[in-house]
Amino acid sequence: MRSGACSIRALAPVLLRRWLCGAGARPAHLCGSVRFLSTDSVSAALPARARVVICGGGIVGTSVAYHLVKLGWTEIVLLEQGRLGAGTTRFCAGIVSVAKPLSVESKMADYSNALYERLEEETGVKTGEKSPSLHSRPSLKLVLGVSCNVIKPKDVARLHPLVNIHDLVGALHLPGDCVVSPPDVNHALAVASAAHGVQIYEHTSVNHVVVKKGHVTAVETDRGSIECEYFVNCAGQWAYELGQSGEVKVSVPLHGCEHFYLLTKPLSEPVQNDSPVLIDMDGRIYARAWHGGILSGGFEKNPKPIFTEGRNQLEIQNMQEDWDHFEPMLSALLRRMPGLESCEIQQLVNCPESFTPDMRCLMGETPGIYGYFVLAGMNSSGLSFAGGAGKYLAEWITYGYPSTSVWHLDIKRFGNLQSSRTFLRHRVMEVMPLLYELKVPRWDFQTGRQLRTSPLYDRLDTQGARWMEKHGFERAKYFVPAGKDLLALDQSKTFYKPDWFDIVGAEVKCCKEAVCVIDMSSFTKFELTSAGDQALQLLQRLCANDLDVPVGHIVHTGMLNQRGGYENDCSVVRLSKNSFFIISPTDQQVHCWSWIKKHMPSDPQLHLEDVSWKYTALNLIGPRAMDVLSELSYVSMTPEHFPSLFCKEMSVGYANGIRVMSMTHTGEPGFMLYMPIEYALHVYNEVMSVGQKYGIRNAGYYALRSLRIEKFFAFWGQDLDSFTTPLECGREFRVKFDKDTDFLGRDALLRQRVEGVTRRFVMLVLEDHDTELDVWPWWGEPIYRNGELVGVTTSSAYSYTLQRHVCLGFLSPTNTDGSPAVVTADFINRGDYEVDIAGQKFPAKAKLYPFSSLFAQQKRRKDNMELSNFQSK
Amino acid sequence: MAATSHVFRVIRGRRCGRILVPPITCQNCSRPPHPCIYATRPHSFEQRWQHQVRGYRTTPAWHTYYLTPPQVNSILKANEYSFKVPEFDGKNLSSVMGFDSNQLPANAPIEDRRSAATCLQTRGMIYAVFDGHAGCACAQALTERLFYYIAVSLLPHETLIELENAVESGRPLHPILQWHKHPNDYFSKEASRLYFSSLRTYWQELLDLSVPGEQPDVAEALVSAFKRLDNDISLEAQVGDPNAFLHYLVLRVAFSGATALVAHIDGNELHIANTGDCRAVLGVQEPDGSFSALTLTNDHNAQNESEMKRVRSEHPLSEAKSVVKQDRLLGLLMPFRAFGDVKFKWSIELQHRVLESGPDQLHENEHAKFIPPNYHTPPYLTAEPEVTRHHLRPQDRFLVLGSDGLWETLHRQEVVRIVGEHLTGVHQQQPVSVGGYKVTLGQMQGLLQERKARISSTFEDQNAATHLIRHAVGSNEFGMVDHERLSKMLSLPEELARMYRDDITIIIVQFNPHVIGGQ
Repeated sequence: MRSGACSIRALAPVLLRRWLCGAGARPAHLCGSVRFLSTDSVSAALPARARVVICGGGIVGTSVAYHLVKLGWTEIVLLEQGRLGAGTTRFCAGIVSVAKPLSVESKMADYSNALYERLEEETGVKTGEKSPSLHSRPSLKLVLGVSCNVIKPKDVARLHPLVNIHDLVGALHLPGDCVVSPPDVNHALAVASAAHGVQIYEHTSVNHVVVKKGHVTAVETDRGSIECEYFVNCAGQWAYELGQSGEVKVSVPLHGCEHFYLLTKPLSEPVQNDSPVLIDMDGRIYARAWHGGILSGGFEKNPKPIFTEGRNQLEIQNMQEDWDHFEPMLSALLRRMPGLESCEIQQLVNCPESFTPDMRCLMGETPGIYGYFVLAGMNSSGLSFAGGAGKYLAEWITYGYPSTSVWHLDIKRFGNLQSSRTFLRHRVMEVMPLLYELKVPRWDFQTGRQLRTSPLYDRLDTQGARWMEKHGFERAKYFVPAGKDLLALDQSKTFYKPDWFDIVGAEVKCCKEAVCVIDMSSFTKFELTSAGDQALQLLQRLCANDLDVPVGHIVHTGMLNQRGGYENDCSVVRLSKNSFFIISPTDQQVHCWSWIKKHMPSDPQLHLEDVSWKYTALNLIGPRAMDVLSELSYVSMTPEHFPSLFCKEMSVGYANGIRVMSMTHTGEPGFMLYMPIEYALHVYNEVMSVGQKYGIRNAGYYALRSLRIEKFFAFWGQDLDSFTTPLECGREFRVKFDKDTDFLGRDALLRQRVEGVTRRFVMLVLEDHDTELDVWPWWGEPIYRNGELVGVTTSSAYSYTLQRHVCLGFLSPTNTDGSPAVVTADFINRGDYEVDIAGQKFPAKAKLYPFSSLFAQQKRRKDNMELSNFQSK
Repeated sequence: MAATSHVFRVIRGRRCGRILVPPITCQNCSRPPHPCIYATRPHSFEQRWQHQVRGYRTTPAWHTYYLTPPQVNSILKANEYSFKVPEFDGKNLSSVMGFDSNQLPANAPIEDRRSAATCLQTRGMIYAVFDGHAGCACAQALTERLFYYIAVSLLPHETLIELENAVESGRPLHPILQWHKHPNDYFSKEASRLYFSSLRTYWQELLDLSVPGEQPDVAEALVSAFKRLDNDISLEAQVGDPNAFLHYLVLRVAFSGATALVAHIDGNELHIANTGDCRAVLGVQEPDGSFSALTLTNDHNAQNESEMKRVRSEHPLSEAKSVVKQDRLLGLLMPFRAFGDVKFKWSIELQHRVLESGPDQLHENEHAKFIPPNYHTPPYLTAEPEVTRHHLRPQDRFLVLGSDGLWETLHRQEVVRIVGEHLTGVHQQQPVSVGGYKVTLGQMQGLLQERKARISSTFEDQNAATHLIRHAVGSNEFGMVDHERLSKMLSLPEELARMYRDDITIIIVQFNPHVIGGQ
């Protein structure tokens, strides 16, 4: 048996080829002999060591190997438990679509598309062909940078004669899309990487990854161990379990769902191979030509999650067809293409796909383990993303970060708290149907909720709070007044004026004129302490601003990377000489922790603690906040006694030791109250009862958002990312070039200061936009300057003060030769701007500074800027 | 099996009336008797049915209008009734979990009756389905009386003494039965005194016959109760009553007829007493989870050879040809055993005498005077039941009692499958697989949509009996419930409904496998 196994391994390349030729009715374009391993005969023995070990021989794993090789890596070993491409890759439908919700995703798909074409030349393995796709429901928001046309039903009929066009209004035509054969792409990638020295071993499974002192040191397989520096988990369906298998657990939050597609026999009049891929979002189906017949699948409303209990290697080879489950999609297909009714069935394929809690893939280095990378959870777009994602991950391993911001895909956006199997099972059942649903602004997931809550949750809920979730934490969006009933959830899903408009307006008004209380307990809170001045030294190195301030001061600062880009944007309170309180956005919990840990010397006297769960945060916003607080504490809270950006421990009501900070994250006057959670209810009750005579009311995050955007406050994760420098977003005043310590990113910023910035964060105030009737801006709308596309918005809100819409976004113009142009204040001020919302262009006024500065003094402006920002922490 | 059931359906389908004897007009129900009961009419109908393979397959030629699904549901659910045996301390200690029953009229008014009750003195539960003919009077009398006869027959000597003493001294009686009745199941008040005095006479006789300390045998008790009640019905009609209304009532009861099917369950012991052609089928769950049918009764009609033999043996050879003609007793009556129907039991003289002394209404009724042809050696008909005893096993999941209206539309195996799947909530539908067959997308879509419809109709019905009726009436060629068909069948005009379907009455008793397995 043993010798048999060995000989199979020795024959692996030959077998693989045979399998490719014989796999069902799938075509094998491959002819001629290709050899993966330079040392075929000795491939039985694994090398004792390697630099990189990649687990997973699907299209993702081979893509990572290919791109690492391209970047000059050697000693790469790729391990596959079965045969190359035997998992999801083997079954997937082979559509590369470049229309993706995120621009980084579109970029990846674009790259993949080009790569697969190039591969054909490079390796001689035919991978597929151009096959433009037709979306039956043109999205309201056209994705920037993707070549697409909206066409008439008549043209649809011309492009695809089988389509029933009677109920179509139009379609989106994407000439850039293509159809490839996934196993062939997989094979081509493998061939290309093998040619550059990647050693591929099939029938080798990884048992676990050995981690010593937070670094990957070796990989244990069923055939012995391999020492290595880097490990890449591309195990697809099995990535979660592989992550859990080691002594140090890695959380890879993904879950499998069954996915079905239908293959038909050739039609009497065979479907041309170049006929477009059809995507019918209403019918939730896709369909492409397949050997003269049709390949059609879809994303149903009631997905079937699988493998919740664990992996089963045998099962994935032998998944059951479920016709009853496929019925709605079959009906949708026949509705869209009635001519297929007489077409014969070839097969119903069940191909499990893995999905993540937010529909975006998982990429990057895992928090806490250096050298452990993950690329998995492709949400059934594996083929579209594999090329681009593989490239980014290879760059990540090589340079420490990809060449573009991938925060939305970064595995560090999740933590252990998203790793519950029950959570994942429930969430993916919600996520999968969303793939073919119109992406509505401010979507809140309905599953996996109420995981983390503030102690005030019930109190707020009974007062009409409507909730959203961030990083598992429930946060109030707004409060529906008693007696007023909002429309059903479905009706609030709109691109137009939402039903909460007046409610949020009232909350904003109260913040401006009286006082509001917002529960902001979800923020990530760290405490950094040391015996000596290690804590200060570390922060001075990490932060651009100067932290050597008197005790009790609050400093807003970015934590920058070598490029000068924001890794984090936080507020740091100096609690005592050697202890600091760091407040970061909610979803920075994992990312910020690993960023600080990565740069923290291993000094037993330096201690970082995550205290997020220990504190409840209440934000009192508004001119009367100081009255409420002084009544509760018998301390004068006027600016003379309590200047802004100051922190004091005081008593509020009966509770003592409450950290009161004079900042609000909105630009309005007010205070943040950080209290141990056991005091939360008491303090809240006291604040509410005392505040009554000042007109206090609850407010939610939507009010906060409107306030911070009209004050031009950027928000990390949406406006700011690791490629945005403080100079590009007008925050130079928070960078202290002349402080003693050479902080991270200083050189890059100095260089940029000399060269000038090529992109600039601006505020655009929309004119002639009818709030009632026009589609609202949300984010991602193209910005035009003098008729030329110069940028894209990153966030927007209705300003109740200006009674206009305010969009924030970046301008990144190019010179005539296509190179990035330097942006000056003059350039910005001398342009006529338009924002394109759903195809309609609205004129806008661009501002470099908050609106208030236009009629206030310079000092006033500076104060406002100094008041905090990041609303959506 | 399929072939025989097919034949069976052809035969049953051609039949329009259970009895070809004109009935006595039913005063209670004040409607004209159904046309097809008249001896002269059925022939034309028979011709009409002859072309049909199955009784209910005709497409109505008249103008139809469609019922909406809620309308269909309200018709189907009008008579549904469910009973769950109450739990004690979170546990149901009874071998019965509960029952579902329902009936769908085709005659106007319906001639079927149903009863369910718990015997309070013993522990048993009794269920019964009665299928009346020539009016509903006899079936109605049976629902009101038969259970008391059975309950009393089951009482031990000591309890009978208590009962008699209580009546004697005018003390209140301990109730004997706890009825489980649908609001539409009415009891008439007028005859209760008369019925009670007959019952009392019966238990007084039982008192004389029984021995202290001896438990009555259930099978014997059932037979005794059946025979006694039929005898009482006959006697009451002969004696008459000074009250003209009552006199007319007892005559109507005696001259109409009814078959009866009674199930008595006490612990693991199931007894079925059957008179006529209702049928009891046990749903047995096989180890693989599927359900199979075990029939516990024999139909007493021409299709049953031993019944044919019995009937012929009870009459002289000279009558061998005339006693069963066209599969009917004396060429008239389909069931070979029944309550009432004194036309087939009394001598000609007795019939004449009773009719002459009877109230005026009878004189006007020509049909009441009608004497069956070749009527030489009465009685031709008996109410004596055939009793089956069955010891319940853990795999016995439920019992279906149904009038012949059910069994002539659905095969028993189909009945058991539908009920079994409904009760377990598991559909034994095999997953669809294309295999090597040539299937087009269109065909597959059709098949899948039917499967979906079947599942959705399951969840529509809480009551298993309603679910069964839905299938019985609405099944199409594929065995799927077809709303269009259901709508047509249920919107038939009253006078036509009986030609397309019979009254359907169903009781489904669900057993408690925990108790049955534990004993």
